[in-house]
Amino acid sequence: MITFRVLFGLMMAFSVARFTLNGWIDELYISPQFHFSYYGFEWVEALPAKGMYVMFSLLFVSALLIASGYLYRVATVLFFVLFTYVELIDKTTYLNHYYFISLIAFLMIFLPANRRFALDVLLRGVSPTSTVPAWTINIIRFQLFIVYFYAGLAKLNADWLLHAQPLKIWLPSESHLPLIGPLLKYEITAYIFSWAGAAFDMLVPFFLLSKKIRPLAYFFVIVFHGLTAILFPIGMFPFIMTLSALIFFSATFHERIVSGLEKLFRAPTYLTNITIKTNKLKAGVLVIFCVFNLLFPWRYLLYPGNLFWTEEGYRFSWRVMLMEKMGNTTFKITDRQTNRTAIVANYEYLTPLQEREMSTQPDMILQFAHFLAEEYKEKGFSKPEVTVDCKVTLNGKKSQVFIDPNANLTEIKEGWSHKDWIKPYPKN
Amino acid sequence: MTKYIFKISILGLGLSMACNDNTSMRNVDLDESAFLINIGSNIIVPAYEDLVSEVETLHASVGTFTESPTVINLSSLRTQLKAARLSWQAVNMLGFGPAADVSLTAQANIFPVDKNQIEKNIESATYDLGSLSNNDAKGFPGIAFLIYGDDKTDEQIIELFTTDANAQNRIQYLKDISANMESSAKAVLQAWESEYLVQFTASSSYGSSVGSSASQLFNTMVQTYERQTRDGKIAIPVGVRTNGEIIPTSTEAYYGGYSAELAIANIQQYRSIFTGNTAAGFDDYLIAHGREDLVAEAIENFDAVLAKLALVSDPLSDHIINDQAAVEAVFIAMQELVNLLKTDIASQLSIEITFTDTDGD
Repeated sequence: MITFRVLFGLMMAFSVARFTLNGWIDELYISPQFHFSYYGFEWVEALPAKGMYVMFSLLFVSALLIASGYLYRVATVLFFVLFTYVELIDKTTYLNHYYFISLIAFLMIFLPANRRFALDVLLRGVSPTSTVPAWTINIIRFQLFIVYFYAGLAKLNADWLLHAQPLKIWLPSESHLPLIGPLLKYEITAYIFSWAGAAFDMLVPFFLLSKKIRPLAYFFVIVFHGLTAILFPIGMFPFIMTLSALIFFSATFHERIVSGLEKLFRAPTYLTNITIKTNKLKAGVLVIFCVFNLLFPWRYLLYPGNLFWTEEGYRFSWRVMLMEKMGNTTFKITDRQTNRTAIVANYEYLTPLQEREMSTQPDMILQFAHFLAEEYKEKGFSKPEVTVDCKVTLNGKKSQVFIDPNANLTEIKEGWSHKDWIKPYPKN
Repeated sequence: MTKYIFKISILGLGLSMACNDNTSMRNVDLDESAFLINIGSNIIVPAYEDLVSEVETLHASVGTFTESPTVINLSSLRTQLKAARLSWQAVNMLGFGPAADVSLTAQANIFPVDKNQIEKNIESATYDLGSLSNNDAKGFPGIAFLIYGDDKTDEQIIELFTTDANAQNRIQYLKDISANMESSAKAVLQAWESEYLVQFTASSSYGSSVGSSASQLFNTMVQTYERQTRDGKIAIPVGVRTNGEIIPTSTEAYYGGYSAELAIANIQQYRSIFTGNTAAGFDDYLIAHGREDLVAEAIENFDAVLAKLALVSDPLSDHIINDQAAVEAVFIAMQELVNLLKTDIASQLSIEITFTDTDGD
């Protein structure tokens, strides 16, 4: 757990720094004039430029505090709250691995990860211990297990397994890469990668649990995440997963790492064992957390239609790199009073990234339609009606009408219920 | 179990290697080198060479006219302006790399022109052409305004450059904006010739991720097509963006009256880049993926836009007033092409429609 805390803190500090240096704070949170908020979290808004930078500075500091184990509880709460807040500002930037980080950060709050090789022990008199209850390790394992296994389950669909989509589209464009490049243009490679990827995701969490084949399984973890890092623009995710998966290794393995670190930093080693009590409230929260984790990704079953097409229940469910989807949406505003019409230039309100993300996700299309209705009221449309001309292509199939072109989106409310204004997915 | 998987993947890997020699093996063969060299050397660089030669001649014509402001010199300056503006149509969608470094479009072709700003600059004789507020007071539209003016006879124009109180300032302003354009265009061509072509065609720029040559070119093309071509040339003047209220004065060559001709030349260049003319273009990528259907549809769409444009006569500003529907039809055809480029084609090329290099998952 100590290894995990140090690595997590350092990786987060690095991620935050990378995010900042790439100019993404400005590009994603400051310059856009409109943000796609989450249902129920509309109150989460981007702060003015200075505020955003302060938030990211605090994120950076709290990540370092976590790594060094100083003011651990404060740091984990701060990191969790700030990180989640930033993620909730705009759906455009939703990534499964940001969700993963939020969940892990939440768990960290409850873990006694500051009781060894931590400044809290050295400076703040937190009583040290070299052993912790098993659940504290297992709950992180559980979280990783879910991520891998559910990602694997999500790959069990006809497009992925029978048509090798979307890898069939993605891989050839990387065929200039050295060594593996020449293989990528072959269709068979896309099939092999699809099947191997699904098998890896489904099986690797089990193998990591088994002591005997753990080293081999971890070798595959490195190969798999290494390959995805080379082939796809997925940023820190492969590194975070590869290092996080170390949590599956035995106590002896980590004992060696932590004592090694202690020697390196000439930190005192404590071999005391204290019993950490788990109170009922904490246990309750964590049980709910686990149940939520197990069930939430299945909510898509409650919706009719093709999940990849409608994306109802798609987010927060470990569906990673599953589809190649692109769309284009044109909004038309009609004033019922005067019959005047206007066709909106999306780029006047949205960044290209926002526009791209919106065009394949119905809830975002609806949000933007509502925003436009308000905009055009200010422009003198007394009863604006918003309709869209939206076409979407999914996994290389010819683009089709995505949203009912007759639906007046101003009359539709966002919510959990099924969106019947999405055109049904064409059956070839 | 792991061993089993391990064996299968090794087998698979071996299999695919073995199949390297097998020509019947289905694969997507993209000759990225041929594509980038064709686009870079045979289309982009010649287009900039052409532009530079035209704006050089234009600057010379400005010199001749300002030295001796005669009706004949005015007329040849106008002819040369049109030639230069036509050559611009072949580069307007290439605003990445060197062109972005000097903001070439801002130097050359922001319209509609801000007449008041120009008159103010001439009056005061102090101006910074690099400032943002002067973007729509220079370039081709600026020159056009100066040598056509609103409802002015040739003689009245010449008066402004000879006997008018501000004649010297006006001459200087015309020379300045023409020189500014010339030097900007030259800088871009020089950058392409000296290093950027090498970078553009280098294997490190292969692929389709953000920052690759194909992605930069495609994204810039699509964005320019939407904003400058569809909206700037057609949608805004015909009133699509203003609830049907037409703005004929915001056509590209409102002064001169050959906006439709410019638009046709422009679309033809988009089509050339898509097809790579006689050599490798984006269409060959699509064919490699087995998507002849998308190539056919794209060509159909390009031709549909050209056909609709052919039904619109110059001056476009008059046509908008007399037959708004015909010009709206151009917009609708252009819109179809945007749909196709941003969905099926981008998707099949695996090009993200964005300039932001963010993470995916």
